[in-house]
Amino acid sequence: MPAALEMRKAVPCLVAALAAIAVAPCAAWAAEGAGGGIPVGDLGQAVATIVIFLLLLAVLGKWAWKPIVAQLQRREEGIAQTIQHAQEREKQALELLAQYKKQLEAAEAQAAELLSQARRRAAGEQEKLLGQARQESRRLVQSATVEIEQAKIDALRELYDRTAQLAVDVAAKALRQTLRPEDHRRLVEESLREIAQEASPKND
Amino acid sequence: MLLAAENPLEHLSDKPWPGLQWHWQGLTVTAMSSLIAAMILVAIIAATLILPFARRYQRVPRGGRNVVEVLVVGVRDLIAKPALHEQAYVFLPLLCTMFVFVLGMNLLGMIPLGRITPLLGLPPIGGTPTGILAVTGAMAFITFMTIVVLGLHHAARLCHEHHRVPMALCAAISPLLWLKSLAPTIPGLTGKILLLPMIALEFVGVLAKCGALMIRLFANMLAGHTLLAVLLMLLGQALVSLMQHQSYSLAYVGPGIIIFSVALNLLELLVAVIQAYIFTFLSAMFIGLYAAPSH
Repeated sequence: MPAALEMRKAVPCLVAALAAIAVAPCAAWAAEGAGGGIPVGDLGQAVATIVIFLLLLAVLGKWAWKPIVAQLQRREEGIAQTIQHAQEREKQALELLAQYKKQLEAAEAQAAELLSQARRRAAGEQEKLLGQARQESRRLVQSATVEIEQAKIDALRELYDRTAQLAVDVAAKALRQTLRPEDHRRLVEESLREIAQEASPKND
Repeated sequence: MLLAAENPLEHLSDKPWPGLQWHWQGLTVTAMSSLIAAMILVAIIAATLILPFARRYQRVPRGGRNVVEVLVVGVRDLIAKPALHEQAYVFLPLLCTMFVFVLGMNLLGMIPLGRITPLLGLPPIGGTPTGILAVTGAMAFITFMTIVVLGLHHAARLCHEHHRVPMALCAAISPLLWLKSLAPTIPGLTGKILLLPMIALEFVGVLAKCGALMIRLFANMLAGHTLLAVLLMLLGQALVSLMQHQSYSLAYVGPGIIIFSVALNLLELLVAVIQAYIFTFLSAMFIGLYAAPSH
């Protein structure tokens, strides 16, 4: 910083020295060309040009160009930042999209797996229930057959008893005086045995 | 108005204000004249038009602010950045002012203010300031001084940083250092022999470049105005011929001259902008060439 300050102090001296060197030929040139055909001008116009330009530079430099350039830079930086943010967000969005796609694919695969498992399980359950139902129906059929068989036997037995009793009663009425009780019983039993023999081949 | 003038180039010449021009041993010094007043007018118009728009910051620029921003961005992107690279922002105020000032002076020459103000009872104001060598020379001198001052500053800074020499001493010997830095480095005895001629040649090169700046702007503005003046003088002659001698032979050229003059005026408008751009761009290039650290 001190070096820069020293340099700043030295700059006006250098400018003054160089201006003096440059003004001398300029003055001679102005004096020579004042009466010529080409519009040369004079020293006063040259000095006035420099002064007016420097004043305009000072005014516009401080109150126009500096704020405008600063605002332009601020706006350009803002636009660049916005573009950068937009690009970053686009990148993030693309990454998120890829991630979501992966998750969606994984979820779809998982759902398919779960569905497949559920179907397999449902099929297993169906098979199991069908087996049980078949066993149950078979058991019910068997027990019904046994019950029917038993009912048949009971009915037949009751029929034998009733028939025997009826036959005895009928025979007793017809042969009440010729048959003794022992003969009567023997005849009835023989008759029953014959009936049973006749019935058994039909049942088999 | 030009038709009435005795000298067709009268509108280019400076008209000193009464009592504000001195002659001393063949040397003329003008304190105030129509052209100086025109330059002041240009500066006032530029400041009046630009300053109000600089204050208001708008996220989306509108109206005049847009024009000012286009100007600044144009000078920055088309002139400062290509010529000065990373130092573009340092010289941007100088280059913007230079462009506006030269453009204003060129354009003011298109308006015949010098004929209007005396009618209003005002002293003469107007003309084409860039149509005289003193003004373009002064503008080129500003570029030359920028090159020299920045070159000296850079030479002094390099001396102080590289050789650990006190800054005051570096500033004192900076002209020699800068002149030496202008010459290309040639090894051996040949380099030593050629050092002084090369320094002289390079310094003359700097002067020649700035001189070319001065002449280019002056010649372009003068040429356009001269051609316009000659054409209008022809028109005047045609009118005189028609009215005094009842001769129609020259009268036929009148419409052609008027159309050509209008076209030339439009071309002059274009030339005014192009010359302002070229002057600013070449100034930026020379500054970048001689004052930039990379040189």
